[in-house]
Amino acid sequence: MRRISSALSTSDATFRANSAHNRRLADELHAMQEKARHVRPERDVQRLAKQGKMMPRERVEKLLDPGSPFLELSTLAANRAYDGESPGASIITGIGMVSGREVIIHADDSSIKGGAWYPHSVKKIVRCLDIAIENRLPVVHLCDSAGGFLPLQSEVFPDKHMAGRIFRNQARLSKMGVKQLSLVFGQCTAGGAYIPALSDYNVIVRGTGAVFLGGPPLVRAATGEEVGVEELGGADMHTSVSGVCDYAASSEDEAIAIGREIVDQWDRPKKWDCQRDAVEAPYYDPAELYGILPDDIKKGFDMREVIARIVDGSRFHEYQPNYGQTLICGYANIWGWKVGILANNGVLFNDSSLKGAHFIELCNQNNTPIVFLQNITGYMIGKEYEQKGITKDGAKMIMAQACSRVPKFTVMCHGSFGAGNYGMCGRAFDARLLFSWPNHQIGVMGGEQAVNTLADVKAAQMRRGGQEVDAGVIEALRAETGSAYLDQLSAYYATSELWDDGILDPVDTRNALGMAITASLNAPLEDPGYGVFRF
Amino acid sequence: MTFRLDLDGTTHSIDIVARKPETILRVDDTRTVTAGVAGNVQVARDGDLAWVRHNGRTYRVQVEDPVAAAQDQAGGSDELRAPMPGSVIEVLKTAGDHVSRGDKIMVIESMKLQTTLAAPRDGVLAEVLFAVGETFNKDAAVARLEPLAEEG
Repeated sequence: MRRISSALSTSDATFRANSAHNRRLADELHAMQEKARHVRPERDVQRLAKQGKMMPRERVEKLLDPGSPFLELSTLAANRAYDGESPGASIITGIGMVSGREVIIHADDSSIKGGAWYPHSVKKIVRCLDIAIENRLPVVHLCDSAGGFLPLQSEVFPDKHMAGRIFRNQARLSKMGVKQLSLVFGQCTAGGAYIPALSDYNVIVRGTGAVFLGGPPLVRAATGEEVGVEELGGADMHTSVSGVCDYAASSEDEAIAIGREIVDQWDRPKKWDCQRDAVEAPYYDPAELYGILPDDIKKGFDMREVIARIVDGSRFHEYQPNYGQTLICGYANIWGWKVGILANNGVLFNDSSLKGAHFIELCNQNNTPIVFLQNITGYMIGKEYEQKGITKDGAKMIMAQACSRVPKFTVMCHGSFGAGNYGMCGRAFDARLLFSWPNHQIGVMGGEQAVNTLADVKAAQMRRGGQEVDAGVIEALRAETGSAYLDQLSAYYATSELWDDGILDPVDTRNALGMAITASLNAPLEDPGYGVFRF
Repeated sequence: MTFRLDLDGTTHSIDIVARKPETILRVDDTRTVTAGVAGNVQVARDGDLAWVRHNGRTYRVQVEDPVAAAQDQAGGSDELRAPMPGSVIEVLKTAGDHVSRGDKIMVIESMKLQTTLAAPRDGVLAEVLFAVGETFNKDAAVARLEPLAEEG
């Protein structure tokens, strides 16, 4: 396959300015991740130490195969919520290797308010288990949560995708034959008790681990019964009397070691036969991505330069290079796996939409996973394009994309605005994993347009009410809505709300996609089929 | 199909004349050889470079991609066309300038997205057809290069 010929000049002033800008964004990202992972109030660290507990990240580290990669997901979930009091939404999730098996890990972060589940924590656990279902990834739960955060129970407990969904997903995973192991390090109370109970295997630590529907104070209040933790739900009771738990461990280290031995008994899921070639590192240095990405959301860039720094050997077979040129389509390999790539090089026209729909069908026919690289301001508007049926051509692209049977992956490389987000496999369209870059912005329209639209609406309201249009009021509105709107466009807001599976330093994209594709092949392909295309 | 390969610094062209019953190659359009392998051959690949060890000697073989090689010989277009309808934000070159393939000629804006238009090949810029602020339709020619002189 041919190598992309890069037109990039690394001595160019724009390249150097972009590099400085994007390296600063990457540094900010790493600083925020470091803080979310490791900075905890001293009293919480002390409390865990006094209980003889490890820090939750230490548990994850000990569980994973030494030296193996761990793809952590949504590290900055909830970074804009609860005044920053729930770093990572108090949950650690990620894909890694345990005893030579690919697994997804859900670990409660008890170094934050006893591991209490906030609304975003529940969203993150549910997403983790959705990933397990879609990719048939075995799950290891590291349980140490005080339970739902009571003041916010209405946002944790009752709705379809709230806490109940965790247990629903666990049951569905079991039905699908996807294995689950729970290691119980703390008290699993009420709903939390169902996590180990719905796992195929569980291990509980003596003294600190406990499982019960109601803890001693609740029991006393409800029935007057006086009972201690060990008797009610301790390790020895559950492993020798009730049968709720399988193995008792005398320490967290022992629990982890038993857990690793359990996983070592599991069969290895058979991956489907995706085409694979010898792995080749990109010919062009991925660090040059910093110089390609612009310092302004309005500035475009050639997505071929991005592709060249992600794929094997920087090799790319471009499909229909002269047609619908604002959407680049073509084949490449990532970590050896054959993939189809759809990448935006401008607004989507009729021809680019049709080309995209056609290429998605080719990938489905050819059993080729698809990677979407988004930088999209939307589908083209205006009389000419509406009369040519831009809406039905966009609909064809959405139809082909939404009904794809091959695994899809999305990287938000820059802007993601309007319906282009849908056609290019935005969050609603079940990308197996979806990542963002720090410069990414997302919204129904760009900041400038949104503020202008809101100002126009306000002025029209004033005129309709017979008022003079007050320029001062309009300006104040622009300033006020402008900053709030812009804030919500940012990648950090998006990742805080779990609209993605995490922000990546652009240079890590190749490895993240490599792990994601490898993990996705555990789930067999469904039968092909689409709905009705409007011609 | 013609393969081009660089063997220890010299480029050769190789055509496969026949594959069966034995592989016959035509080298540099002059020699026809029957390819046979005697003894043990070991190959290590590193991208487009291959190290071939045969009969105690190691050859460094540079494989050239046949499609890329064919396309390198084809010239780019004379015209620079607008990929989207929009307006001109900035013009970076003027008529008469020598440009190399990939040099930025103008920046346009469409649907709130700025795009840089670059020279499709090396040449001399004949004219820039739109000034800053002017609007154009999709596929409009926005700049033109001097046509290349016919060779020979």
